[in-house]
Amino acid sequence: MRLLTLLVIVAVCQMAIGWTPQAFAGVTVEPAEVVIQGHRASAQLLVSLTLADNTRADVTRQARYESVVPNVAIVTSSGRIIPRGHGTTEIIVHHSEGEVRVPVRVEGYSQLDPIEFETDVIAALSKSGCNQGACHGSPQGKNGFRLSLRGFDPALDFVTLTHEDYGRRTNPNDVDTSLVLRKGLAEVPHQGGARFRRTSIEYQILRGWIENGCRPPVAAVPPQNQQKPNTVKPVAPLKLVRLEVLPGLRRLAEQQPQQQLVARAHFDNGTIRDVTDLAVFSTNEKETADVTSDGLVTFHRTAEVAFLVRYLDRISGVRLSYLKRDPGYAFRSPSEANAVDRHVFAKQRELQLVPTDLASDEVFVRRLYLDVTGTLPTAEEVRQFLDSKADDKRARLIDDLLERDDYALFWAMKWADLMRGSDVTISQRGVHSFHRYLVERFRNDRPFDEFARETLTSLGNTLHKPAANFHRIARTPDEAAEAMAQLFLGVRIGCAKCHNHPFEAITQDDYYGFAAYFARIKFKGKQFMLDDEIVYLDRGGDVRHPTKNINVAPAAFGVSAGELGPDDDRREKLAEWLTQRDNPYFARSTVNRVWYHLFGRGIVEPVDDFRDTNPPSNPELLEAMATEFTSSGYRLKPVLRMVLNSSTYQLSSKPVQTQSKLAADPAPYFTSQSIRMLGAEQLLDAISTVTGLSQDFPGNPRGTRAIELAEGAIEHPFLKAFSKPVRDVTCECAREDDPSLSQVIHLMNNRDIIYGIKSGEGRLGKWLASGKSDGELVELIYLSTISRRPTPVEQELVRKYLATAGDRAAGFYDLQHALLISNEFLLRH
Amino acid sequence: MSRHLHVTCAILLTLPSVGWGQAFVEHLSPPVVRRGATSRMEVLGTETANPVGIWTSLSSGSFSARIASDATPAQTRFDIDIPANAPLGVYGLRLATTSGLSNVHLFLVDELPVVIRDPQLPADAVVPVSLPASVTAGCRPATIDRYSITVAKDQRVAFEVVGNRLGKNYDPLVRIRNAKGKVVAEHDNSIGLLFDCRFAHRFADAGTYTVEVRDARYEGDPTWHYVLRMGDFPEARVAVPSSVVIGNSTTLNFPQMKDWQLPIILPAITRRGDAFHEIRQSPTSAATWIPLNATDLPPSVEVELNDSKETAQTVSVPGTINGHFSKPGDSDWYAFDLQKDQKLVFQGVTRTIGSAADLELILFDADGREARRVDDTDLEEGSFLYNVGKPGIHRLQVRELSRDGGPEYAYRIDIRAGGPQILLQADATDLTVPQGNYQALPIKVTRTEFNGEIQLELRGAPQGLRIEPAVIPAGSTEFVGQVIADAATPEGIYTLEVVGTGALESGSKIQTITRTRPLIDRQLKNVDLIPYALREDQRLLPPSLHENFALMVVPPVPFTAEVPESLLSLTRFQTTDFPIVTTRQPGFVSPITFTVKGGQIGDEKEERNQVYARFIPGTPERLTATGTFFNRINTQLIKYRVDLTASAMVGDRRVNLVRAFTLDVRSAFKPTYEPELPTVAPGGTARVKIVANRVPTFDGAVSFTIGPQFGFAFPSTVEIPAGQPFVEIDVKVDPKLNPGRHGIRVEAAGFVGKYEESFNLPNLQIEVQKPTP
Repeated sequence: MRLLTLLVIVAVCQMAIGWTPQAFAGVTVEPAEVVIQGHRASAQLLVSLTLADNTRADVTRQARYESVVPNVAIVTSSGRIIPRGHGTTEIIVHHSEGEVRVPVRVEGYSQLDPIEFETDVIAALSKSGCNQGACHGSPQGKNGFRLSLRGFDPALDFVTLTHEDYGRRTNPNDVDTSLVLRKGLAEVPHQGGARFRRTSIEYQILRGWIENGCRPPVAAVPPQNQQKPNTVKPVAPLKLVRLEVLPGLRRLAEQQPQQQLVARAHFDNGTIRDVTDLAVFSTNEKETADVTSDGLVTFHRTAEVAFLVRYLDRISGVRLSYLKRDPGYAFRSPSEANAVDRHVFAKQRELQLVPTDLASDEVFVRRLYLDVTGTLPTAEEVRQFLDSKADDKRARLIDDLLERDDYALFWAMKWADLMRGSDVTISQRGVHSFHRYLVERFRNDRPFDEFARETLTSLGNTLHKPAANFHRIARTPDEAAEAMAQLFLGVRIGCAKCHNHPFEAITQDDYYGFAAYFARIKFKGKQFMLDDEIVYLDRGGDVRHPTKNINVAPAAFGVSAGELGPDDDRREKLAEWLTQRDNPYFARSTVNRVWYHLFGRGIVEPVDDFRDTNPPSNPELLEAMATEFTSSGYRLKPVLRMVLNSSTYQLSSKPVQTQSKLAADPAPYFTSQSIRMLGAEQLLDAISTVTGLSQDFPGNPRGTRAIELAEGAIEHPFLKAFSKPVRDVTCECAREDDPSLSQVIHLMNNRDIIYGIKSGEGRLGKWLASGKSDGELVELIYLSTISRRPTPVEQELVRKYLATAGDRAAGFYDLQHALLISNEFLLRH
Repeated sequence: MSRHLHVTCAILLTLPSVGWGQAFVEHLSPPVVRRGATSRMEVLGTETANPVGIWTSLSSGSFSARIASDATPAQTRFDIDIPANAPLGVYGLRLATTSGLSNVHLFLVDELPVVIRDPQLPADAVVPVSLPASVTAGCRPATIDRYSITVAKDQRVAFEVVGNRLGKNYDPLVRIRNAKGKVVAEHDNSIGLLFDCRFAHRFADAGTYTVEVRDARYEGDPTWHYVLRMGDFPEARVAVPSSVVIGNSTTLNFPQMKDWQLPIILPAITRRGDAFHEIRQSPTSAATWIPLNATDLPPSVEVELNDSKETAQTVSVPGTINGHFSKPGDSDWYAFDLQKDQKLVFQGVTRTIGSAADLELILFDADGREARRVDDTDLEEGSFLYNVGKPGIHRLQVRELSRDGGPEYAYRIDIRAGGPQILLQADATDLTVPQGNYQALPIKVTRTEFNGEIQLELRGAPQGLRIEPAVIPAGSTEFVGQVIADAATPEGIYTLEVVGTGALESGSKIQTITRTRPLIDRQLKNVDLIPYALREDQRLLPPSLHENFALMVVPPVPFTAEVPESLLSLTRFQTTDFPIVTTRQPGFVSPITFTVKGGQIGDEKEERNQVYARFIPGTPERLTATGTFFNRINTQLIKYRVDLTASAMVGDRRVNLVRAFTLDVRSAFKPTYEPELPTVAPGGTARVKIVANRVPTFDGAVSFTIGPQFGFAFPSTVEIPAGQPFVEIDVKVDPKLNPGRHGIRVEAAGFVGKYEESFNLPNLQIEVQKPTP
C-alpha cells in the first residue's frame, strides 16, 4: 500500500511539474578547472546533469556552490566565481545527483592590472551596446558621438573618446564627470537610456580606464611617441584567436527550457579568459527563445534556435534545441524512400511534427514537369502517366525529364539569373555565349566542381572561354570575392568590406583575403572597342586592407593560399580550397540551392546566407545531400534524382491540420510541399502552351519560350510584371514572390491570353474545329491546363454551363479562361 | 535617319579616298562563286548604276566578270567566271562604275555545288540539301534557317560557315538535331575564323538530321549573308609549321586533325607572305583552305618534351619556330647559339595563322638571366629587337598568356636578322585617277635604323602612270605623293603595288610593299554621334587585300582643284578661311563641292572637341572657292594631314579629286624668348625679349605672369600691348646665387575674341655663370 501510495505521489508530482521520469547518469561541470587572472576577472561554471538517454540538463542554477577558501574566491548562486585573493581553492558543486569539486587558481590578484583599451574598453562598449549599428556605431554616429561599429577601429574610438567634444567624454582628473559614464548611467539625458549600473563590469572597466589616464591602444600612438618617457604607454593588446562557447551543440532535456551559456576567450599567448560577463549574447528568434545579457537561455516552445555570442571582433554561434513533449504525439509518415526521408522524418519526429500524405499522381506529374523542366506536361503526357499502372512510373518519369533539353534550359536559366551578365557588362554576344555555356553544362550534367573551377579560374578570350565572363561581370577583386562567396559558398560577405560583419564571424581580413585571390586579373579588348575581352593575369598586383593599410595575402576564411610566385595563379588555390571534399561550404551551399528550387525554401534559408546564426534547419539532411553530391562526382542529377524520388518531395502540398500544439514551427521542416506561384517564365510558357500561341520576344525567333531566353532584361511587360530578374544581383531574392496588382491585371485582362484562347490558330480553336465531343474537349482542356481530368462534379458543372452558354465555342472559351486564372493553374503545388 | 542617309554618312566619314557619289557596295548576293563555273552575282548598294567592271584581289587570270543586265542605282548583276584552278578562300571585290571604284566587299571562291536558299521561303521551312553543298542565304534577325541532310551510320561530315569572314558582323551558330529534335552537336566560334566555325561531326546513327544556322545572338541584317559548307573537307584551321620555305618539301601537321599530315611544296613562283592554301585529305574529297606564310626563313617544328630550361629544343636562328601549346599550362623552351653583336628581331605570330594563343616570350641570355619579356598585353602580336651582348646559348621560353592550351593554340615565332627596316602604310586603299590628272596618296613611314631616302615604284601600273615625287625624303615619316595618270594612260582597272626601296650605306637595299587596310563593312556608332566607323573585327582581312591597291584609270575630267597653301594655321577661338583654286574647261558649269577629313575633323553637328569645315562651292563664276575651318573650345593643338575631296558631276558620272594639305591647330600667340638662354654673372642683369609670335588674325595684348623664383628679381607681370610684337624685361640675379641653369615659370594669357587663351610657356632658362675668381 505504501508502495502504491509512493507511486501515486511520484506520478502526481511528475504530472504537476510535467517531468518525464529520467534516470540520471551523473553531474559534470565545465570547465573542469579554473584559472583566474587578475582581480577584475571572473569565471562562470556550467553544471550539467547527464541523463540516461545521454541528453544533458543544465542545472547551473539549481546547483549549490561552496568555496573551500573564500579568501581566494567566492562563488555566486548562479555559479560565477569571483576572485578575492591570490592562491588556490576548490569550488564544491552540490547537486542531489552528485558532487563535483572544481580546482580554482587565482593569479595576479594584487598586481597592477592595466585596463587595455583594445580588449577591455572595447568589450565594455560593446557589452553596453554603445557601438552597435543602431546607436553610436552607425556610420553617422548618434547625437554627435560616433564610434566604430562593434569597435573594429580602436584607434578611432580612442580619439573619439578622449579628444572629441572638448575632451568632455573622458576626464581623468575628475573621473565621475566623464560624459561617457554619466550618459551611460543616465545621470544626464541620454536617448539610449541607462546602459550600465555602477556595479556592472562595463562601468567598472570604463571608469577604471579613465581613472588610469585613458591608456591608448597601440594603433593610436605614433611609433616615434611610443618610446617617449613620461607618456602613457600603449599596451600591446593580446590577440584574440578563438571564442569558445559552452556547451556547444546541445539538445536540452525535456522540461528543462533553460541553459546557461559560457563564453571563453582564447588569446594568442595561450591564456583562456572567461568573458561571459563581457560577451554579448543574442538570438534572431526572440519569440521562440531569449537569452539574457549574462548568457541564460530560456526556450518558450519546442524549437531549434541558434544563439550568437560576440566578444571583441570574434563571433561564435551555438545551436540549442528544446522539446516540450506532447504525450499524445505519434509520428506517422509515408514510407522512407531514401536518405532524404530518413533525415527529414527524423527531424520531424524529433520536433513532434508529422508530414502530410503523398501527393496524388495528378499533382505529382504537374509538379515534376514544372520543377524539372519548367514547362507544363502536354495532355497526352499527363494521360499517359495517369493511366500507367507501373509501380515505378514516378521514378521513370523523373529519369525521363532529367534527360530532356528543357531540363538544361530551365536550370541554366536559374543559374544565369545568379551569374548575372547583361549586354552592358559582357555584350550581347557574351550574354548569349555565356547562356549557351550554362545550358551545355546542365545538358551534360558536367561536374559542378569543374564548373566552379572554370568560373573562378578561366582566362583568355571570353569568346572561347565563356566562363571567363565571370570576371567581366565581377570586374574588381572586391566584386569577384563577393560574387564568388555568394555563388559558391552561399555566404554574403559584403558587409565586411567596410567593417567586420556586424552579426557574424566574417571579418575584413576574410573579405580582403578573398579579394586578394582576384587581385591580378586584368582585361584587354574593350579599349580596342571589341565586344569580347581577353582576361589575363598580371604578374603583380595586390589588394590593400583599408584599415590596416597593408597588402593582404590571399586567404579563404583564414586558410592561407601558401607561398605563391608571380607566375602562379592565386585563383587556382581558391578553387582547390573550394572544391576540396571537406570544404564546409561548397557542396552544402550547392545542394541547398537545389533543395530551394524544389521546395521553395532552403535547408538554410535564405538560400545564400550560410552563417552561424542561420544554421540549417536539418544539418543531417544537408550533410546527406552534400555527401551524395560529392560522392557522385559533384553532379547535380544524382542529387536531383535522390530528392525527387523521396517521399518528402512527393508529399502533398496540403498542410497538416493536426500538428501538435507543442510541436515546433513546421515551416522549416518540410512537413508538406510548398505552394508557390509559377515563375514568370514558367507561367508565360504555360499560358502559351495552353493557348497554343507562342509569345514574341524582341530579338528572338517566334516560338522561343521564356525559359530559353538568354537575356534577363528582355523587353516584355508580362515577364516584368511577374518579376523576371534582370540579372543585376547574385541573389535568388531578385525574383520577388509577392503578388502584385499588375500581375492580376495581366492575368484577368490580358489581350494576348484572351486572343490566344479564341484564336482559330490557337489550340482550343483547332480542337473546336476538329469535331471533338464536348466530353473530349473538356477532358483535353483540363489535362492540358491543370494536368488532371475533371472530377464528376466538375464535369456536371461544365455540362450545365455549356448548355446555358448558347454559343458552344464561347462556353469553351469561358471554361478555358476560368481554368487559366484559377489558382490550380497559377500555382505550383 | 533613313538607311540611305546612313550609307551616305558612311561613305563620307569612313572612306579615305572614296567621296560622294561613288558606288558603295552593301552586299553581294550570293557571296559565293563556284570555281570552274559561271556564277551570277548581284552587287547591291548605292550608286551602282553605270557599272564598267569588277576589281578583285584574286590574282590575274582567276576572275572575269560580265555585266549581266541593266544596272540600277541599287543593284547591278554580273556573270562571273572563275577558272577551275583558281584558289579557294575569301577574296576582295570592288564595283567599278564610270565614277570610279567602290568600297571593297568580300566573297568566297568555293568548289562545292552552290545552293541558294529561296528568300521567299517561310522562316521555319526546312530545306533538304544533298551533300556536299555550299548553301548560301541571307541572315535574317530572330530567325533560324534549317536544312535537312541524310547521312549514313558513322559518316563524317565537315561543316563550315563563312559569314563573319565576309566582313560582316554576323556571328553564326550551327546546331545539329536528330530526328527527335535532340541536339547532337552545337558549334559557335572556331578559333582563327573570327566568329565563324569549321568542324566535323561523325554521325553515330544513319538518318535525317536537321542543321540549324542562326546568328548566335539572333541578330540579322539584309546585307548579311552566310555560306554553309557541308562535305568531306578537312576541319583543320591551322597548320604546324605555318610557314613554308618556297621550293622546299614541308610536312604540315594539323593540331585539329592529329592523325593526318600533308606534304606540301610551294612552287618557286609563290609570292612571299601570307596566303590561303588548299588542303584536302584525298584527291576525291573536298578541300578547305588555311593560311600559310611563304618565307625564306628555315622552319623548326616543336618536338616535345621541351617544357623546361633543361630540355630546351635546339633551333637555328634566323628561322621560324613553329610550336603548339598542347595542353593548358604548357611552356615551350628553345635554345640557340648567338654571336656577339648579333641583332635579331623576334616576332610572335598567332592570330594571322588562326590561333587563339596570346604569346608571352621570355628570352634568357647566355648567363641565364631574363633579357627580354614580351607579354603581348595589347592586341598586336608581341615582338622585340635583341642585340646580343655576351655570346653563347640563349633560351627562349614561350608561354600562353592565359596559360591555356589545346589544338587551337599553335604559334610561330619569326626570328629575323635585325637591322634597317622600313614599313609603309597608306590610308588610301584604292585610287580612281582621271587621265591627265592625279590623286593624292598619303603614306606613313615607320623607320627602323634607317633614315635615308625611300624610292617609290608602282608595280602593276599601266603605261603612263607614275607617282610624284617618287622619293620619300630622308628622315620623313609622313609623305603625300601624287599618283598621276598621263593623258595617254589607258583606261582600265588595275591592281597596284607601291614598293618602297631604301639604299643602305653598305650598298645593299631594303624593300617593302606599302600596306593597306580597306574598309569592308560599316557599323553604327551612336556614342559621340559618330554614325559609322570601321568594324573592329575586320582586323583579319584576307591576306590578298593587305598589299594591293585597286586602281582605276578613268577618262579625263574638265576641272581641277588645288589648295595653294600646303600648310594652314587654325587658331583656337578663331576661324580660318582658305582658298581652293579651281580651273574649268570651257562649257563645264557643274558646281564643285568640297569635303574634308582627317585628324580631329568631324561633322559640324557633333558636339565634340573637334574641328569642322564649311565650304562655298566652286562655280564658273567663282573659280576660287572658299573653305572655312572652325574649331570648338577644347580642340587639341596638333598638326595633322587633311584630305580635301573636290567633287563634281561630269555628265552622269561623279568625279572626286583628292588633295592633301596640313592643318596646324595652334594658339593665336606662341611667345618665345630672345635669347633662348640668357647668360649672366651673379649680381648681374639679363635683358630678355619676350616675342608674341601672333598669327596674323590676332593683334591683341598678351600678358605674362612670371615666377617667383628664388635668387632672381624681375617684374611679376608684364604685357605685350596690342599691336606690339614684343616686350623686354630685366632679370636681375642675386650675387650669392649658385651658378648653373635656372628655370623661371612663365604663364601667358590673352583675349582671343571673347575667350581667354591661357597656357604655361616653357620655363625661361637663365644660365648663371660662375663668378670670376
